[in-house]
Amino acid sequence: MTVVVEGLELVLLEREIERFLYAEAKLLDERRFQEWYELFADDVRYFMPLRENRLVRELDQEFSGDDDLSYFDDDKRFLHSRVLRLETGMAWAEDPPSRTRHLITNVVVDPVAVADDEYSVESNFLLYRNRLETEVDIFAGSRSDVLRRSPSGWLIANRKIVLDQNVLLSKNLSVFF
Amino acid sequence: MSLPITIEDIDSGRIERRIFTDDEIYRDEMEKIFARSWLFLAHESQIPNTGDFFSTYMGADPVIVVRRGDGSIDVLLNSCNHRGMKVCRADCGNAKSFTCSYHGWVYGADGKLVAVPFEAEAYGDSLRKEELGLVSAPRVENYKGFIFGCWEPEAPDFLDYLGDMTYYFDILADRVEGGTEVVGGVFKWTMRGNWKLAAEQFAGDMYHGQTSHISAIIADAQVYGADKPADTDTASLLTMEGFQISPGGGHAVGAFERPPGAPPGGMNDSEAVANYINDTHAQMEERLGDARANDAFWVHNNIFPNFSWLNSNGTIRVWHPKGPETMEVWMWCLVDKNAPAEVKRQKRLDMQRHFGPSGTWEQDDGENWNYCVGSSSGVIQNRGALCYSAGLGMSRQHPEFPGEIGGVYSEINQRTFYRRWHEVMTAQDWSEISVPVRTVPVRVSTPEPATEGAGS
Repeated sequence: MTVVVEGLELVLLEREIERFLYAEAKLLDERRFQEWYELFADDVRYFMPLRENRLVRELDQEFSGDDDLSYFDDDKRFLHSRVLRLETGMAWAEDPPSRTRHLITNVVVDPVAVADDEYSVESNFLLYRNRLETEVDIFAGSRSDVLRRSPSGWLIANRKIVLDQNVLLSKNLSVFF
Repeated sequence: MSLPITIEDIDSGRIERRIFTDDEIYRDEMEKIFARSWLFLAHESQIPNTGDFFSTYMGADPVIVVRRGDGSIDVLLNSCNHRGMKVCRADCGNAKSFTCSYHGWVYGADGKLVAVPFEAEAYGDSLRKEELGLVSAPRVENYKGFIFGCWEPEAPDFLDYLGDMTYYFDILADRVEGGTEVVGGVFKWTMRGNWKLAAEQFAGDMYHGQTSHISAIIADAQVYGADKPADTDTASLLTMEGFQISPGGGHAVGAFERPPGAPPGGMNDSEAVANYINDTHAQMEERLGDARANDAFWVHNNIFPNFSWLNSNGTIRVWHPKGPETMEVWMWCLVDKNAPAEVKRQKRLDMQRHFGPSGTWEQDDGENWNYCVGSSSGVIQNRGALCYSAGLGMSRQHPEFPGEIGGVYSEINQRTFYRRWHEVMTAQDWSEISVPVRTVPVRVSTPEPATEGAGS
């Protein structure tokens, strides 16, 4: 049965999810990566495709597909490896660590639930990274999440990140989106 | 130009820092190295159909690699002969022609100038269109699916340019029936750092692994360690003996020794990949012989100047020079064409999770290359040379592997790389550049690819 959230209920749901996404961003910016990792469902796919410059007539092929290369195509285990790496004291790309600020905007919850207590959520991000003496990276893009309500709170069950760059203008993607 | 470094410096393990930061040396590299060396451009699986194209660079020059109707491959300078505008600004796709967006000159997919707007009004009958086609590279070679191009008509044939590197290239290109293909998409990222630092690392640097990549090794062991038997884990591999091999021509290969009985697969192989490598190992033995199949665990490689790969996880890449202190890395994921879909998927995941800008191994390479250059631009710094002496006087021969061979942590391959760099940089033309001696025959792949020898 299709569940559609309407009216004031949708406003409250959207506000609740906004608060969750802001709290998530705060964990990243405060470098609380283990707590951030725990926000993901066990079956999560954390995915960021590549984007090609294509002529308009071939624009349907702009994004790399499921079996193509992608910047991220992680399950929860590999996300765990990424987080543990940062805690070794020898992850040189993040040691000394970056200063990040995740600005999350344009949060829209699809009123049609994906499943019982699961919702599709669109948001935009501007991720400012400043590192060491003078390094600056600015990443802009969007995220399409599936968020799942659980007894312990919201979980991220799926995250697709679209980055608005072709040649990546950074020496690495050692930060999270 | 006179270089701030001599062959004697290189042979004694001293590399002047200025070669990584100097503008004039960089401009000379564009002319001497990149305008006359064989450069990797694309894999043929990227452009399977007539009119398929892939845009890339040869040094600073933008080019389009195009599949012709007869299956052969053209390499066209991506620059209109009227005002120099790029005639193609897409990364890849399929095209019947390339139309300049400035004044509308139309070039066929073979590069011929076929139409000029208002030709009669503007030029009368004076425009010699047959002389105004896109400049095309006179030398193109498709070696077992790997497409290389060269601007210099006098350069040696591609196989002579490789010399005995073909013996090692075949471990990547010709291991199994059916050959290779690339997964869709190309990683492209820009970073501070001189292109030679990256190329030399893939030529000869096994030494950095246990420091640069230790965090990823530890983290993966924490998460996945229990999945694997101890004799295949990465830590045990890193303490093994091995080879740095200079087969000539400035090309280079690095490998660990493979102890008898060790599985042939790579460090991070999933069960599906490990099984596939085991299942196809007899093919490798049959095609490449016992020594290549069983005596080494092949790791890093560089074809001079800037085409590198790692065998086990299929990362192949070009270090595009973008100024003395900037490079752009383009990286593909290579898989066996006939491998099962699940094997290709697992290879891709393993590669992109560990290599590329988001990879937990490669993130730290970017940091190092960045600040090698950053700490070589000072006056006092530039008075000094860097130490490249590991393995000096310790080279040896191997009964099977062609080339001069050092230990796994030797810098013999870096010295070879810079010796070749010095030779090419100081030569007026190809007549002054040595051609590597071939001691082993080239394995002819059967059936031969339909496009072999295209364009040359």
